Amino acid sequence: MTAKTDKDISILIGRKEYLEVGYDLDGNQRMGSWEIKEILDLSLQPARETEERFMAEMPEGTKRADVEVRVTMFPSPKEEIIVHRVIKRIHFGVEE
Amino acid sequence: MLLLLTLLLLIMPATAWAEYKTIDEIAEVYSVEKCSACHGRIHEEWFASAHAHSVVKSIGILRDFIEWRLKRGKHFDRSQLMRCMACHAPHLENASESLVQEVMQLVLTATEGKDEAKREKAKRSLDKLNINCIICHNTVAILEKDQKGKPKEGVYYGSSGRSSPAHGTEKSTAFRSYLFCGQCHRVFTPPDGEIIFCSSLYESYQDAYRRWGGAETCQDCHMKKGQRGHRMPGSHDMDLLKEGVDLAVEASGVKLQPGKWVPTAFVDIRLFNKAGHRTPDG
Repeated sequence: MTAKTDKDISILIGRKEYLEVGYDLDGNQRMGSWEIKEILDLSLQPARETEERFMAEMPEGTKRADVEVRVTMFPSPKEEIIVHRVIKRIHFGVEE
Repeated sequence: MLLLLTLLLLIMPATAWAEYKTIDEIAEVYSVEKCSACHGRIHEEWFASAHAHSVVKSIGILRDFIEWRLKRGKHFDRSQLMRCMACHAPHLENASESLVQEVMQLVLTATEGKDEAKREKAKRSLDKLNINCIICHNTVAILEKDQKGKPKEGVYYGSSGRSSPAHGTEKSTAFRSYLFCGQCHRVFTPPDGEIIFCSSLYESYQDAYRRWGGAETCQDCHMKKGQRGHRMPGSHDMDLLKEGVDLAVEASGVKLQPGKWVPTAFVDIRLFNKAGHRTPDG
């Protein structure tokens, strides 16, 4: 999630990852399915809503910014699919 | 001559069991060219699916598994190969040990060989091993083998059981059940009991989605909706991903810290996972 100010400055607001972490019985994270015996489920759950809130300071004097939120799926480390991209304009103070 | 014949009969096992010695032999037995003659559209959909390339599309992790064993001086025989191939290419259950070694070498050549022509040739060979019509509509078509018996040779099972002049048909309710897909898209337990955590879609579907009242099946979303048919798209398909996850964003700007008035952005994001299982999985 990023914001671009009216002075063209880009700010990283935040990033959240949803995934499963697989690990072996010694507690070491593993990538190979034959080594994984337990998981930490940090994924989005079915038929459930997940809410995230972020807060980020902008540079002094910023009057407005365009906040961009992207949801990206990585089916593999080399493949990136942008599923959703939403841009919201915010103002600080009265809109000129 | 009579004595020799008697000796041969005594040596042969009571039930003949054929071992496949080459990939081409398997490809011949499991050929779906005849299926495409009548089921052209379905064949085309299937060919665009991950099932049609079930070995090649997972070749990276297959190579990693083989290398992991070889580097540790562990043997690699059919039982090891079937840890992966029980789902990716179940027909290899009847592969000879020499074919197992050949498949292992082909995976290594296809991923590590310096010669591009050899790599592509190895991939083309491995691509003959896949989850095709015969695997789904015969080999794994019956979920209640203990109650209903094994699939009959030459009979193709489907959800309608409509008769065909080309081959035997029978109706199987398995095709409407999420358990049909769950045969493979789940945590796998090989005969020695050491689980392979390749996918846990079925567990997530059964224990979370169904528990919270979800009623759609795998087939509903991955085949019926959007006329996806036998293409059965998954996490590489944009339409399915967009359909599976909803995004709502609210954003506002406030100037915080009285006196300093620092412009601060507040962003509230809601993601709704509409899929019947955790996202992502695997």
